[in-house]
Amino acid sequence: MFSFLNPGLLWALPLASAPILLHLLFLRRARRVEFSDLTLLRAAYRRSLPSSRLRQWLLLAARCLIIACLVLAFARPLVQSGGASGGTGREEAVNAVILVDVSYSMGYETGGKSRLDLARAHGLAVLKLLRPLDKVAVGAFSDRLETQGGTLEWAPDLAAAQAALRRAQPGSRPTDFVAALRAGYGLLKTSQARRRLIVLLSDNASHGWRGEVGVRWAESVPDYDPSIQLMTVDWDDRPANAALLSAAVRHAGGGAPELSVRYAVQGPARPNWELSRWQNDRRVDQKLLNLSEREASTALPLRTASGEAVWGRLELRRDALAADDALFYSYRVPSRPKVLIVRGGPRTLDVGRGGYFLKKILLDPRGSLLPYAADVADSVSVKGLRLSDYRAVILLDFRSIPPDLGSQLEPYVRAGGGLWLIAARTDGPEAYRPLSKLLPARVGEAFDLSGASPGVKPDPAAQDDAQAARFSWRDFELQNVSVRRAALLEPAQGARILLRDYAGRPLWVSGRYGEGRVLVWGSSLDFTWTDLAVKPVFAAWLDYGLGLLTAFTDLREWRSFKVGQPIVREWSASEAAPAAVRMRGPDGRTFPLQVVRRRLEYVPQAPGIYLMEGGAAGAEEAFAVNLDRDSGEWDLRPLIPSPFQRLRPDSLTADFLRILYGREARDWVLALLLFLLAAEAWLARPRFSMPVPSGRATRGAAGALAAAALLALVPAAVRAQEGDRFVWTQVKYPGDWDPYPSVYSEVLGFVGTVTSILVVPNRRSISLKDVSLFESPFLVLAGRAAPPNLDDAEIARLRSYLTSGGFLWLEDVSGSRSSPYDRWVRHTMKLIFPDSDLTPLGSEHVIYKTFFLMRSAGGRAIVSGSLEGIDWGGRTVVVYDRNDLMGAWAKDALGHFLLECVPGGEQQRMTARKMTLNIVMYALTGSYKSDAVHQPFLLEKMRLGLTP
Amino acid sequence: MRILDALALAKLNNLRLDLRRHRVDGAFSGRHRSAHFGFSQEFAHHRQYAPGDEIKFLDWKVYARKDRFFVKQFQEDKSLQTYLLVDASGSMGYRGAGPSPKWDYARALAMAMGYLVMRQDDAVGLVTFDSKTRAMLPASRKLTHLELMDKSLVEAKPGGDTDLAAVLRAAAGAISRRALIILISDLLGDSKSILETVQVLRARKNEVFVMQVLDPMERDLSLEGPVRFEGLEEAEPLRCEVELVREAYREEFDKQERMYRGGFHGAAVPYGVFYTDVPWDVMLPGFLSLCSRF
Repeated sequence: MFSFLNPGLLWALPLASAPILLHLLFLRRARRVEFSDLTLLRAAYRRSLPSSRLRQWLLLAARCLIIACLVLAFARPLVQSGGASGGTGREEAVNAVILVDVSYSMGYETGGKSRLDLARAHGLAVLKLLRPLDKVAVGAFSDRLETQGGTLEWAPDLAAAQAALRRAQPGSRPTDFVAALRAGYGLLKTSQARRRLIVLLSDNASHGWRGEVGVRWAESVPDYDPSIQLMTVDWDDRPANAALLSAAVRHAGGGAPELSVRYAVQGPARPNWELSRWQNDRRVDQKLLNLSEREASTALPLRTASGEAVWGRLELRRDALAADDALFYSYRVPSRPKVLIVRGGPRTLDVGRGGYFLKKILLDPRGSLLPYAADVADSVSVKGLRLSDYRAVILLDFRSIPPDLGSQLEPYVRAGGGLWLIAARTDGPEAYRPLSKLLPARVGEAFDLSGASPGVKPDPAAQDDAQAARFSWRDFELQNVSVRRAALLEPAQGARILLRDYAGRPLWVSGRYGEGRVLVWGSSLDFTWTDLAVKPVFAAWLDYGLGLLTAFTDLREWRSFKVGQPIVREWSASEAAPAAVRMRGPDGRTFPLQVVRRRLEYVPQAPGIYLMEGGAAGAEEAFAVNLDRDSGEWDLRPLIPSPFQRLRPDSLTADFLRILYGREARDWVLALLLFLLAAEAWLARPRFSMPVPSGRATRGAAGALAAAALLALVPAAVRAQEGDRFVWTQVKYPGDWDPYPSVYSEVLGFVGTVTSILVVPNRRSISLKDVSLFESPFLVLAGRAAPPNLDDAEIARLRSYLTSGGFLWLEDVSGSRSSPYDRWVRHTMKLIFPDSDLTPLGSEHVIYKTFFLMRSAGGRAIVSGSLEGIDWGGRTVVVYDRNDLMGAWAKDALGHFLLECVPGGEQQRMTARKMTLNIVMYALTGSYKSDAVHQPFLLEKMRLGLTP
Repeated sequence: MRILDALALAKLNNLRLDLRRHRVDGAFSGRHRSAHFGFSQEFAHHRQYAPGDEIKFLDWKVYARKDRFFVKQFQEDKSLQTYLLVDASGSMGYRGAGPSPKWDYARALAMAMGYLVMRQDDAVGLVTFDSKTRAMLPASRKLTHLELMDKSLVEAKPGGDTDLAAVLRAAAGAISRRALIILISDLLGDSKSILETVQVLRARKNEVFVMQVLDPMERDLSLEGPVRFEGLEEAEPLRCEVELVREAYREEFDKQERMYRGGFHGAAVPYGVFYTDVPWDVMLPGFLSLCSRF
């Protein structure tokens, strides 16, 4: 099921036990701790067993697995896709078929190396991965197998396979994967090995599939077997290629022949790309092309006479694939078929008659507009002409056919001539009787079409005529052709109707007689009959008709062959056939060839011009042999998506092994590793827990999280508050900073007893420069004499402290109206808050109702009627008392009050105690009471009966 | 006295155990409804006035001299019998994060409470116990009795198991009259049966105060690493990683405390928790005010 690419690394697998070993090694000796009672501890231990123990074990397991996964990832496991038996799988024999593409597109060069060179190197690399036990067959292929005998066979050993691979030479044929795959599958079908594969070393261009590829490509390959692995080496370049596709000779306007060259480009546009024409090894023409479109054509003039044999080559500037940049041609410029126009009357071709336009097209002194040469005769002069010189005869506007003309035409048509009767102006139903044997339709009475809708329409059957490929009737507006008068045509058996009028009656009928063809046009060309002659379709109509009669095409004269296709030269009976000829190939070598039964057959293997010497009259005959371009071999775009498993050239070995022996599961192992790492991090996360002073505090997960967040955000505040407990912080300065050393504990005891505030029993004494100043939100500065003046740093710190949330209680314990402390306070506060003054806190201030509802402040000695304070940001940050509130608390060692309160006595002392508590509450709750935000809550609680 | 020094006594002088609302068979509740009507009885001593006392017992002469209110008390008033039940089991000898063992704290509390009660001219008895009653001093109102208690507490050393429930039941048997029972213990053990026993005591018309003495360590379990816990009362140790059980332990501890709080509240028993890191004289006023609220 599993195999490994680096099985040696599996020896490192015991490393996975390292966490266990470390755990055992560093197992700490447990400390002995005495504990009062283990009942709760045991319960907690039992309760935490399932979760924490499991967590520990999971953590250990995760850590072991992490190391195991790391080792596995380096060992690179493979998952067998076949699901076969165990073992590493590499000891079993592999049957491999290596198919090398030797089509000419493999000559594509990148970096000085052709694709075939690279493919050979890839093949050798694959062969290196096979062991002597494995069977391998190497076959070169193009559109057929290029091996000996055209069959694929197992190589006797790997060395022979390597030799066969090295022997593969670039060919000149197109690609056909299906043929090669068929051979490969056929060979592997007979093998019994479990691992069978085909490695296709090709350019993987889509042309190799001949358009058959798709999701169902496998159906096109016989013997397809999905268990056979199909691999190919990928190319990561973007091929670009320009190619000449075809050249055809044709008659340009004016009768001069020209060469129409089709070319194509794939990839980026190439401006000013040279195209040159060579004729008989001499460059005669050159043209700069802008190769931008995928396929385009251009024309090169051919300065040569009709009928002359011309051969040579067309060359496009060389690019990466050079083979298709040359195109060889050999042809004779076709002579124009001659057409005879026999006019029915002396004025038939004059201006104003329909025949005039026929004359203009075929008899223009500057050259015929159509590739036909025409002569004109009348019914008398035609008798002196040899009709066999003409490929077609047009009978124009005959009222009746003389019988001798009929008898002259009959053998001509039977021997292969063409006859076109433009029938009109009949003298009667018997007018064309001499031609009745030839005509495909009986010409009846003329009738007027004026009532009916004008226009003609092509018969659907006539559309697919081979000649019609030059144009389509749909290119013209045939409904605008007006036919007003026509003769009623009755088509004979086997006749084809080419055009009908809009009523559906046949207008133009074609038929055969003997070897020849006959056309009947049911109307005249005169304007009284039809305006066809002045319509654009007239030239096409004429070309179509003449093409049908003469069966003339430009392509007739090609002596052009494809590589692999035999050159055939047959000598007709009129020619003297040689017994043997000599053929000179494109490589310059000459070899003799036998002519058997007036026929020469030779199969060329390379493109080029093949010159045959020793033929008729000693003249050379040239045969152009070209690469097969019909298969689109020039288009090198790779097939996407490829039906093959892909081997990347830079990781060929790994990919090959991965595909052959299974899917590599390293990604999964790495994913598992990541997951385990995450799990480990989660399991090993630190558990935040603060010392919780109150048993009622929630210690759930949410609480722990909130505590963690709090710790992260405001660690100072948390520490300053000692959890949620109130800390009495007193400022220590040189001098008498602590007039009543034990008052704080009295106050704290009172606070703890009367309110639900939790207090820290010990006070914190700090200087203003202490780092923990900002961790102490409640600050007391008491004094009798003036403290030393603050320096700038202390003032800045105090200001910063007060403006960022601190609270300062200034306590003048002197009990006199003007004390040094009082002067110091007013001076210092002016420095700290230059803009704010110490102002008396009126009875409406919230400090009088934060806990107890007070009317006065009280104190040991009433010096001032009220407290004073400094507001900053809507909050009283400094509270200054001059009545010695602290003094009212002071007790001696035996717990008796130390100082007498004047003038109010114990009542005043009680007020002072309450006021102290109010100050503490104010520091802790601010304006909470005056906002009365608690009232609805209390009312609600009372309503629910929760509070007595 | 060795347990309470002069300073502590001075501090205690400012505190008062206010038991007016407690319907005990003693000095305060039975005073007016006793068979011995009026004040023809022999004068015993003065007591500081507390709001609620009958004004007619105010001694105006003393007020004129001292500027403080005192009420006269008479011999015939029944005095409250108070028993201090002090846990002297092994777990009380524990000292974790606090400055002193729980035992020291507990006996200071016991002496303080004893002093406070005795200052009210009520009788105080002392019972120290572990799994059974160790020493018992019957209730007495003599001031010298305080010395005996002090001696007894100093000589006692914590040790042995606790079976609080059994001891309480035994004590309940020994205490004949309705009395005030002040239980000073760490209440560690079978919490359910402890609660039940306290409720039984309450059902027999006794007043019960519960003062739980704990070490901060028992609350926080602020230890690190693998620890082999050895109980002071039981033999079998427990080995565990503190980090793993701390959360669960705190939850268990909270649960127990909630249970005590709820149970004692339901039984109308004042319940105070004293941690040894806070001096007892700081904590005591809060507890006393709690007692007076009940």
